[in-house]
Amino acid sequence: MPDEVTLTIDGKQITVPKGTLVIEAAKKLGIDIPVFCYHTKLEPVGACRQCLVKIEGFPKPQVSCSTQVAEGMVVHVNTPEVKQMWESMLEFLLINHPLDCPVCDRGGECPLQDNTFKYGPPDSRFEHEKRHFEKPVPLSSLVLLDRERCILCFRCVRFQREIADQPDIYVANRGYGDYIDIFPGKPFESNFSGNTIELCPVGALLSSLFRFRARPWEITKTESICPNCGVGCNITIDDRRRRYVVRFLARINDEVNEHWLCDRGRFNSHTINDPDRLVKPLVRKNGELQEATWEEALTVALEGMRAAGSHAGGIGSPARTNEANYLFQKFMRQVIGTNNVDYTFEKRTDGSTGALASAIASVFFNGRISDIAESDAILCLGSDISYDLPLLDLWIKKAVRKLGKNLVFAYPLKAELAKYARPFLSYHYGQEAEFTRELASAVSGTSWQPLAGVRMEDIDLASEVLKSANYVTVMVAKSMIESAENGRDVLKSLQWIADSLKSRNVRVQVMLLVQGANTFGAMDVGLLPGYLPGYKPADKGLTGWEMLEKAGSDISALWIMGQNPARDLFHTEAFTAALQKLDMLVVQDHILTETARYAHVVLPSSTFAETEGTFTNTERRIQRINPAIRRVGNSKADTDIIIEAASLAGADFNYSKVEEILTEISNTVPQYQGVTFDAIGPFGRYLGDLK
Amino acid sequence: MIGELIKGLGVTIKHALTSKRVTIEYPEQKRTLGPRARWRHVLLRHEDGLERCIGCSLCAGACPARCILVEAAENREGARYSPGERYAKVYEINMLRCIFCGYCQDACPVEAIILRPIYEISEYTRDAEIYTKDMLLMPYPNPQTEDLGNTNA
Repeated sequence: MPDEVTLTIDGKQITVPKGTLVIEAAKKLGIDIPVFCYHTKLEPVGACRQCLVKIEGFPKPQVSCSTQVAEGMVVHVNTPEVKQMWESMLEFLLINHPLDCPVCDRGGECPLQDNTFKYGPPDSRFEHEKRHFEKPVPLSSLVLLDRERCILCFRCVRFQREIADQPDIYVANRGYGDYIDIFPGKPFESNFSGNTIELCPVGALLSSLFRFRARPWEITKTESICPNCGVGCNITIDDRRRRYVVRFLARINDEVNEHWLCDRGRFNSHTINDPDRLVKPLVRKNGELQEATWEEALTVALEGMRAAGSHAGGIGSPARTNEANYLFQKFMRQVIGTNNVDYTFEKRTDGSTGALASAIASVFFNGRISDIAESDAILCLGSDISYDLPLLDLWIKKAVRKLGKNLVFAYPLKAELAKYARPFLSYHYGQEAEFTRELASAVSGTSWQPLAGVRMEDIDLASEVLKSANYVTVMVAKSMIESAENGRDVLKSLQWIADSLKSRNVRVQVMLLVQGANTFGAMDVGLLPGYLPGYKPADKGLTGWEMLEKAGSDISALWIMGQNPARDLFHTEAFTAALQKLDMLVVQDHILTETARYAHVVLPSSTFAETEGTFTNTERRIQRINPAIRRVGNSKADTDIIIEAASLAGADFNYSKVEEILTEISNTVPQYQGVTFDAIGPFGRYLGDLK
Repeated sequence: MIGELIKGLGVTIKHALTSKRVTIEYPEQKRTLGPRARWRHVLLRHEDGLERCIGCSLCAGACPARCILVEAAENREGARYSPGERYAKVYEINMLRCIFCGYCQDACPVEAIILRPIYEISEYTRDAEIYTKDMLLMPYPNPQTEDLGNTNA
């Protein structure tokens, strides 16, 4: 075949696609070549010269990380000559690299250290004083630079330039005087800056939060999922002595987050290690919250909730596991006897929840994150993705910048992604329905009038871009459907767009962008007013917003799991007043939040780092989280709290393991059929196309 | 039979009267230890009083009994404990677990920890057997010879 090339490496023949790098071909044969600057996701530069190999026909050694394969190429790797070159390169790099491994955070997991042990010289011949610089230099409040240790592989600069497209750091000076620096007066503010720390093959870039907190060999690693947004990035929780979390690292999952994490997720261990974590249940006695036993607290909570009966309400959380949310709605519906359950207290327009639920149940949202880069055009509606779901921002940048795909970006404000859009459609706030109808009319060829503040030619250009593509990804924020005025019309217009495109033989995938790590899961497991698990219709109930609105009248008792309405961005005062009108407020959380201060009973629960369970992300990929550290004090997992409360109430909640709850979910929710911990596996299981 | 008994008792009495005594009247009298006896750890200081230990945790990494806990922190202006950037904020050794192998001393890159012939480390509680940094660290400014243990006592 013309697109394939056969070459010989160390006497072994291999056929690889044209354009493959020698180092990648060698990797396929299992031949190890030491590298520093080379990284699978970055463009090759050949900066460190460590990966030298001998290629027949070339008079001098070649860098295998930036040499492409050629037909009949003969490469020698495991020869004394090449080994000698590697050793010399390492000795050269170590001339200026300090041997302060004992105090370096990287010592123990350092590629330079590992390669030196494997291929390097046994001793140093360098007798002079090494370079000295001020250290560490803060590039931002999170990233510190130790210039002495830098070996100038430029991975950090290349990541910021190629992947994040936020070139806040650069290489200053030339040659021997090279160093990494920020621009004067402009700190390293990229929201992906933490990735440079992980990419750094030495201890030059350091995390200010992890610095000196643990040595790599003292760390226990637990595979988990980041709970901070709907993407569900795969992470490892690194903890010390099963007591506290020292850092989060990215876990490679090429279908979700590739190798990356955003800073919001990466540097978020402080709430787990909070010294003010709740360790005992609290019950309000004589107007003050006082420590109590679990039995006492749960008895008081149950009494209050059951007294309210159908006037009770339960608000779960999009940041808690499927298992906790499932049990929570079951407990509310069966034990307390109320239909008022919700996972959020966002304001939603009438009927939007139902419209969304039926759209989800009919598998309208079938998008896959990894297909974003495959599609020719991306239509992104109503979400500042760079802020809401940062990792999807990287996927879009990859599609637009690296693969030349088209982005149609619609958002009222000029968000970061606007500069990649062709066209950028800035509609007016509150006119989402009009705007999407205009776009749908343009795509379907129906006549329309510009009402939403977007120029006609921009909408026409957008519809041309969408129509001329073979594969279109439509991404729509859940808030655009649920919170916007006439959100149901947004959904209708979207269905119209999808249908018109499909009738032109354009492949369409639609993604619902949700903000919580488990918003999708909370809806799936029936924590919705009016819907049972699997979107089966049930008796109507109040939404979270309505429950707070009607507190004191229609609602006399509330059980809030893992949410903090008293610190809501826009409605703090109204919510605080509402919470004070309740006869019974039960708050289940890991710290004494603003909401918990108004509670009658506070139940200390575990964070995600202490919990076993599953999250369902924005593409409906179910992924596992695992407990990394021991539970703090007398706190309990959400599921255990609900099971205990239910059994105190005399209900039959017999689960001895979290997996049994998941089994029940998979038997109840049709979309989760056959899902078990084993079936989910380390990289999650995509369920978006299941009815 | 009585003859054998007397004969045997005779041997015992002979040894009791003639051989050298091996019992030592501890604690009035203390045994002389070998020159390389390894007992309790001591954390050393530089001449200017700064701690040698840089909190690198290599001792804990080398420890086969996992009895050392080090938590490091950064030296700051006005609160300098050791030369360089890093010092040990917490340094604890569980003496009940320690097997006195001396690997920590071997692993230490700055020769901060040494095992000295200080063998009087009995305590009444388990908690008291966790030796903290201030118990292990050499006193400053007036170190005494017994702080390092004496091999000829």
